Amino acid sequence: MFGLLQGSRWVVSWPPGRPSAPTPDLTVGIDDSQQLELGLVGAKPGARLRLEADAATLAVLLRSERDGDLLAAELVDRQDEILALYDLARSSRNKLDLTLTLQTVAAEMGRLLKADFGFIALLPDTAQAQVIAAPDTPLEPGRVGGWLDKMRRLPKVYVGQDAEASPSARHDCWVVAPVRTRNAGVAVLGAARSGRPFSTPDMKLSQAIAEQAGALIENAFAHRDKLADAARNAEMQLAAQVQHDLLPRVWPALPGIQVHAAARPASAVGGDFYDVLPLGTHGLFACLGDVSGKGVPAAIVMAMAHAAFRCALRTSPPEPQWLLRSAVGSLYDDFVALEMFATAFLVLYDERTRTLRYVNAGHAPAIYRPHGGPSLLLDADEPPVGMLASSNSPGHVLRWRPGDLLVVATDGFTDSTAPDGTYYGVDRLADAIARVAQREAQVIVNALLEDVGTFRQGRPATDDQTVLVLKSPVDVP
Amino acid sequence: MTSPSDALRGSPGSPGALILVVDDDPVTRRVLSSMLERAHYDVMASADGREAWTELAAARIDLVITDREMPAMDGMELLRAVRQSPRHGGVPVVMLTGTTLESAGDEADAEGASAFLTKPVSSRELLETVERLLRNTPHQT
Repeated sequence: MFGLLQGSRWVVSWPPGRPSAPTPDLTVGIDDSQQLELGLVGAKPGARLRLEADAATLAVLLRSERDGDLLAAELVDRQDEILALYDLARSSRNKLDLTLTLQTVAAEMGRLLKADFGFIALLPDTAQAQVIAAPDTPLEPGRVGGWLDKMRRLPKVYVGQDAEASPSARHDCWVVAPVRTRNAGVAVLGAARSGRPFSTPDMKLSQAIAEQAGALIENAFAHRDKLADAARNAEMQLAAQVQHDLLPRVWPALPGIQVHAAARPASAVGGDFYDVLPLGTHGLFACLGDVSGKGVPAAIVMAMAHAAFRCALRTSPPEPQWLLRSAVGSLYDDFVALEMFATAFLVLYDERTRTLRYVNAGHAPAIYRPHGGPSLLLDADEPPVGMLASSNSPGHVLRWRPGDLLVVATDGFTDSTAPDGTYYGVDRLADAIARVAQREAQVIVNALLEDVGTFRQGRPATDDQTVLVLKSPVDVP
Repeated sequence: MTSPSDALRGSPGSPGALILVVDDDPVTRRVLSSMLERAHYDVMASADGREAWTELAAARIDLVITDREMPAMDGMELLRAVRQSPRHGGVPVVMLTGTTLESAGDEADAEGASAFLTKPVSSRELLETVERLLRNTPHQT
């Protein structure tokens, strides 16, 4: 009888089915086999040699088998890890909300690590720490804060069986991994349970989950930023619409004057403004201004200035210097507080006297081109609104003859640059005016905007461009 | 086919259930066996349905985990044979497949499979399924 023994017990034998087999005459140990031996009952001469050869063969087979088992176990671990990450990716695929993402990651961490709970703590650069445990478990803020500090200093996976260091006082075994993100500050992902320490494979799995979590959190942050951008853009579009609605869309028509204006803001909203209103049946008011600064602050101040001039028209004598004086009185304190100012050019036309009365508060360029030319610059005689508490300009009067032209633009025109850095300048504007001076007001406005656009050769405008044109027809009755 | 060390694997705390793993792919066979052995189940392995049927006749198998697509006798044929057998008809059969077609699950269900799992299967999913089925089925021991 031949068989395998462990101690004095036959594990298996040939022929089989001999539980009460006799003690072997000859035994040979099998190397590295937990005290297994080959045994033989009824040994013949030379049997030892054969038994030793069989034992050596069995030892090789057992070692191969053990290696195979280890390999299969490693394969199972890796496969479980991959499937766990797949589960995590799948369960969080449609979660772009940050809190939901954190909840999912914490819950999956707890589930995949077979822990009592999983948790994630996030400390963005600009906000309060956010800690989420799933299932909901009371964590000690001081301990979680300590882990965040530790990860900031030395980010790696920590594992231990130490109730003092555990994020939860009720769980003594914990694993904590750093979550690396490019946009979410410091974050840690962890799990804890009682009585069963986490192993090396658990650490590897934690690291893998934390890396996946980092990508998910980055996406959630990016999504949140994108939503905020979209909301900001929607608000800006609304603001642009409001600002656009403040501008006149009806142009008063009198026999002796045509008036037209247009603005091209450099961004959604801008600080340039203009207004045109009829004054009874025989005149009109027009103004153009430019608030210091750009964007939303300039747009808000532009709305204030627009309202102040409209209010002045209702409450002050219809003279440009009085209108300016009233607006300065209304706006000065606010402008000083905001550290802003605005240039303004105000003009009133009187059909009965065929005169233009104007006042220029720090504005340029304002170009008057009498019929046949040449162009004249109407210099400012007052500082911009917001510089002084009151205005004392006496105003100016121009005789308004057939064919005369007044162009008031903002410095977004003259400061425009070509790709080689050349400024558009006042001279180029005057030349452009000369080329179209015989045309109607609306045609002149469009031609000037087109001319400066052509000059920029596709470069985006860096400042708002606004132009107001008053034109006396040549054939005035 | 029984691995050479099967006879040495008795371990304390074993649920005492003997599970037959049937798959023509030796790596899958080994991985599934490893998952079950780590949970202290006794495992036998076969490379196709025909071999598995022989094992079923020879041993008291408590649960069968079989691949669906195999040469010789495939998983569906094995399932039908088990269900039609007066002796083994009540043995839980877990059908494993690499296909994600829903119809595969429906077919296995119609033939009386106790559970249907899609490869790759995690240890957690496999062991939860095995534990659930064994809980609901008395061991043959």
